[in-house]
Amino acid sequence: MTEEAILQGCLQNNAVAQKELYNRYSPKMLAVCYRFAHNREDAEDMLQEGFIKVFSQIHTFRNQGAFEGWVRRIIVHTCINNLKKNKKFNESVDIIHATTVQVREESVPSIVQAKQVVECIRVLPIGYRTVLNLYAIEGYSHKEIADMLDIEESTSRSQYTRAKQMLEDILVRKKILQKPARKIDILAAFGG
Amino acid sequence: MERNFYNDEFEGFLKQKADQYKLYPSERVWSNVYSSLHNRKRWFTLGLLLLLITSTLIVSREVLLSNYARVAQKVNESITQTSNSNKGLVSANNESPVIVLSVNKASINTLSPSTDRSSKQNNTIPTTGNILNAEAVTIPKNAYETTALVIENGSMPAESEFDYTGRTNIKEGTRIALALPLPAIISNKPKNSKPSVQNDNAAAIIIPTSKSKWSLQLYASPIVSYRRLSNLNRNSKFVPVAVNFDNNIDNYVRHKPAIGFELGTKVQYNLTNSLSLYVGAQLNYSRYYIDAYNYHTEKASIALNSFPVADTVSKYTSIRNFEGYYPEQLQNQYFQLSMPIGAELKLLGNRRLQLSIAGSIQPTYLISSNSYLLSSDFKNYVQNPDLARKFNVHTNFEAFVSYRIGGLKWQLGPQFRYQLLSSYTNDYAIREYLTEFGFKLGVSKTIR
Repeated sequence: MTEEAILQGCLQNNAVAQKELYNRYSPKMLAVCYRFAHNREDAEDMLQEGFIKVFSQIHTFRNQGAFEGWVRRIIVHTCINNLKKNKKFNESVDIIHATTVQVREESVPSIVQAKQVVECIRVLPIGYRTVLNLYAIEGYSHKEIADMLDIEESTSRSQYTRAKQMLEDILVRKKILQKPARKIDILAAFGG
Repeated sequence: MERNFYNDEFEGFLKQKADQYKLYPSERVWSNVYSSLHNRKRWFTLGLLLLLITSTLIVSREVLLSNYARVAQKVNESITQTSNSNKGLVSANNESPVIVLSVNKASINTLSPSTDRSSKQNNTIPTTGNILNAEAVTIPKNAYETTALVIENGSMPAESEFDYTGRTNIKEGTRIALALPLPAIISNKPKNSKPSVQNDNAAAIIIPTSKSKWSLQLYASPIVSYRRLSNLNRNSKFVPVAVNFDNNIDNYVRHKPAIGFELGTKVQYNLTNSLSLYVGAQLNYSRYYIDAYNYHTEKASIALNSFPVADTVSKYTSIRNFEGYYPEQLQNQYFQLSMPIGAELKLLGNRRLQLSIAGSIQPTYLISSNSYLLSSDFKNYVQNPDLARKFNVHTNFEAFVSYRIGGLKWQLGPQFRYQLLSSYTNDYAIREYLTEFGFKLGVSKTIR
């Protein structure tokens, strides 16, 4: 089934087309949710809410840009709203205090690399993690992040800097990254 | 420079790794998404049905009331004509005008003509809300000498001096309120057919019994739904199934009954005192549980009975029938609209308390379903709405005790409902027949 056929089917509320679209994008989108969420269950709840929005707002998709990008934006916004709604985000987004958070190494499982990296990101305090996810992975600017999270742009920048530092440390300790004398070589991603 | 390069590289690395990562959601997520998207249709149908039921009730009531009004008007017109002429009440020949009112038996028994003055008080019915039309009528001068007014039902003001013999105590200009609670028929009738008339030339109002044959019933029933899985059909030799299949699918699945409901209305016509026919509309929500396991997403195939060319449907699923990561309970749910057409037979009882049996055949439309199909190797459960059968036929059998209170007849009793065609199209090798046991509560009202 082509993407166009799926979109047409979804516009007509066709259950088969909806399932096809869901099958195609749900694994990637659940991984997105998982990076933001506290646990797998929360991630699935976010995914569910996100896909209901995708299907109910699909008529607003204007074919300007990739459909996957459009779906992803809805899912990311759903995750952010969910964190805000549950007040989990507000409670831990305090950047100043977050610098003192100790990362427990044993909480990072030694599994295959993509999952290892994601699990390392999830070890970060939720405030750091959210900004890092939005800036480094989802590609939002600090201004957009500030608007989304209701924080200052400078706060977003400083939070990202600290998040990155903390993640580097974790990745180095887990031997996913090597840190030479003057710069860090990235081993895994680019073939060693 | 190095730092900037590192920054870009680091973010690129993170993005690449994050995008490589995939997680497969549990079946629960899609089920919830699906029911959220398609629930609106269900509610729309339910709303439509409720609207139909309400409309039927309102229309029945309106028809009933308009009948009362029409008949009452004719009666009044006739009475007015009679009262406007001193000779109106006395026919010149033997063909006197007769007004015949229909009334229930109870009223007739209560209000039989009497020559005994003491029984007059007993025969007087107080005016109640049941009276639809109460028109003042002036009894013309000398009318009592020639007229016998036999009123077997109605409201007689207590202060009226009207005597049921119709011969005495009617004063000139006495106003009598006639209450007509039921439809009446106006006809010409020979005077000698009136049992109560004491004067050969009398005009009379006679109120015989007339019973409506139509009734409307509303009913609801909690039901316990289960299913019967049958062997593969005759084309099954073309379908690859599980190895060592011993021809009894029940040995390979763990299904449990679940509670649903049934809600409906029907219009009933009494052919005889003990036999009646009915037709109606009925909503059914049936379901049963499936014990399964969650597992990582894998491909599952359903071989179709598309003889002579074999075809297969392949789906991705994270539900396993046997071993998996953790147990998961699924539900096969069906939401149907049926049109029961059947007959009801009274076995024993009196007018108030009866024991009856009934049976019907029910053409059924599947409004929506959320069901899991067993893959051909019995290893997985997959969803495939395309294989669901939209039109089906059910049969129903019930026995019940009914009890009449006032104008309503209440009934209560067990019922059994069975699906004649498989829940899935003939392309699917496994046949599933839903069976339901319930306890139905119904209330009927006669449509007059």
